[in-house]
Amino acid sequence: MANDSSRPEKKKQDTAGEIFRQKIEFHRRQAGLPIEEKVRILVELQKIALTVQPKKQQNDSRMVWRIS
Amino acid sequence: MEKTIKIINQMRDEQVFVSYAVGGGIAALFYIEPITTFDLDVFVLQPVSTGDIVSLSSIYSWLEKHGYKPEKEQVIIEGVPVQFIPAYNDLVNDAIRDSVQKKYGTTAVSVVSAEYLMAIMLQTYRPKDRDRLMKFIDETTIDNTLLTAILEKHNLTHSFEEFTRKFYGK
Repeated sequence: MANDSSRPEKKKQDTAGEIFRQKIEFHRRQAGLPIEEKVRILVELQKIALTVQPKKQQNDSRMVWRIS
Repeated sequence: MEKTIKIINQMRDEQVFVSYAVGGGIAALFYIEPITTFDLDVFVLQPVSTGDIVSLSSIYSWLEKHGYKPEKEQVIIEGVPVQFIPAYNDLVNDAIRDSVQKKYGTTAVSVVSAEYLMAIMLQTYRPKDRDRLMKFIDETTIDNTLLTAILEKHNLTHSFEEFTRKFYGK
């Protein structure tokens, strides 16, 4: 009889492996976006970064780009 | 950002600097997924006559004349903080000279190649450089022959071997 106890573990590994592969694929797709789209995303990332870590010092020159 | 690039191209055309190449996080953006960065780094080759002392005064003068005032080490050009960085060593010199032509919108822009960006990141080796190096390896196509030649020329082969051993176990 097959070792049934190994099947749930194998399923977990397959699921984790698939998630990992999808993550890699996602990052590669993002890398292939047009540069203009990447810059649009960059501006959103800047807004998030400044929300999470607002300026505290006067010499902090970070700003959200003012581009259309 | 296209308007910003047009201004930088105009500066090059008017020989405020000999040539330029976009580096740093924005250059990386041409090759890898979007990452957070806040300024546009522009490496510049300046005229030989400026001598050994590196001066950005001619750059700042031109920008002020055209309505762009410096704020600390950067200048806001058409809504984008730009940092002009004179080539500070042979690697950056080569990176500018061997820069690649990309397009942003309909505007041509000189960008440091992926291979030179990797070499520069190996040289500066800050934590964010290590993160970006991994993204370059995982997300983009690298000319390995070119990369090997660059690393050898600038004594970075061992650094790259150490990096891949540490983070990729090979």
